[in-house]
Amino acid sequence: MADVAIKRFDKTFASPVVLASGPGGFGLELHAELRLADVGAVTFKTITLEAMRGNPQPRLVDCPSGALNSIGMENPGVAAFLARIAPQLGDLPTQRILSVAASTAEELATLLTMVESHAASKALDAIELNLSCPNIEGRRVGADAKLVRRYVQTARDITGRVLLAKLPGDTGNLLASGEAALSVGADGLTLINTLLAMRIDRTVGRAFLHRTYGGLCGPAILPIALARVYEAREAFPDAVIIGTGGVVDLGGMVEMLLAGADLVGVGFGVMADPELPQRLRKELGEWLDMRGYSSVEEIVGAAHRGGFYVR
Amino acid sequence: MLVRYKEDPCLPRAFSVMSASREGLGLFVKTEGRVREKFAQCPMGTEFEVRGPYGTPYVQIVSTDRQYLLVGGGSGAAPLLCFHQQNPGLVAGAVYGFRTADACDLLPNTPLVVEEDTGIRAADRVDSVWQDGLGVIACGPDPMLRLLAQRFQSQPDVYVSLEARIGCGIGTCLGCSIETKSGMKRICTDGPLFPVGELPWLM
Repeated sequence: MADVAIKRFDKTFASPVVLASGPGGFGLELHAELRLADVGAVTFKTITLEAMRGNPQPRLVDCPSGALNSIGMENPGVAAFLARIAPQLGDLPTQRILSVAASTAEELATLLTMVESHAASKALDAIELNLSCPNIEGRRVGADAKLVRRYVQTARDITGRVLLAKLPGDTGNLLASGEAALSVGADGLTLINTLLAMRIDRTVGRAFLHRTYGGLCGPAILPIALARVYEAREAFPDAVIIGTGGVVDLGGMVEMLLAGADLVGVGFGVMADPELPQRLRKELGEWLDMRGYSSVEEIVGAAHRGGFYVR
Repeated sequence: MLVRYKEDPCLPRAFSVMSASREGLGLFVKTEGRVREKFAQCPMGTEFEVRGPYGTPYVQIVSTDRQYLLVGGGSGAAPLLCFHQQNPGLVAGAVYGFRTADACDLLPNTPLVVEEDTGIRAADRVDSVWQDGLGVIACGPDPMLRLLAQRFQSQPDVYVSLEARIGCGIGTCLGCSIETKSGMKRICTDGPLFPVGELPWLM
């Protein structure tokens, strides 16, 4: 079978499929449903400095071709994460990406200093800065290139780990934010987060969600994510890009790779079907065989090179 | 159980198991909504993706030192019928209410309270069946659960089975988290059954 592994940052990802932050929790419960060794990486649920209770119900609302979510970053806080959860993560047979968010750069510095000074952090292969969650109060840092620069610089000064910046697909100037992140030492970009959206409950005449807006995920956002990944690949030919948004099948994953994603995030797709990542790995191998490729690396960014027939 | 129509790019739907035997599992499905309409319209042999069962069985949550009155509203009757089938010794009585009489054909051996015939709902009938010393297990719409929580707030062993839009079903996405006295809990794994005393927002 064709080689479906991706090598980036001196690490080998068993497949291009990365569990996006959120739906998979900390990967621990997924053991029962999914062979994690077949997954390129797991991005853990976002951790903040203090514990967060998240948003009230409802947190999920159906949409045509997807769902609106409003989880609100429920998490136990970094201290409890390091004490209770992180020590279990070293056993996960895949690359492990810690996702963090903070409402100020100072808070981010405190959080990351706690992580880096804790023994359990040896289980972490990379850190993703969540600069784009639509579901908490405060500014969406990723929309403001100056703030992006400050957050990434802060993180870079504290951690020597692989550093990723997760940016929004719907606000601000993505290329300016991406440039800011990469210029101060981000190793890669995760594109995109869920998109700000809403639905209204016709029976009561009000927004379904308490916070009115939530994040749209699922196949509905695939074409938008593809455009963001494509333009980022054009602007940053050497950056590692995790293309995330609406991939629920082989077709979507192949499109994401062709658009220039080195790795492909799945979020909604795993909620709908926890076995999706391992199925995608198998189907990708078969697809590459059928087209006569020996490695998935050959198709990454191929859409920028004239597609399959001009090499 | 989580059920998903494969061709439909939506999250799975959560259903309680209504009956379980060697022949298979019985689900109670109202024919409204996206997946449920598919159930009603699809020809025999149509494939759905089914996974589970998830969650903690009621019998592992309730105190087994007493008998219970089961109170079900609408499709909330389904998990209670299953509990009754599997734990007859724990059940002292049951009240199942439905808005319309359609359900009478589905459950021919179970006496039902039909609101459109009588104006009476399951929660209204509870007092005539209730006896001192019984616990309560209820599943149904929020207003029904709220009425029962208030009515039985001084009693021990009163439980409600909750519902939310379930995302993953395995406790990772936190789409079904609710606030309880002992912190955030997930309906899909910690529940769906909770003691009413844990849910101050229900009162």
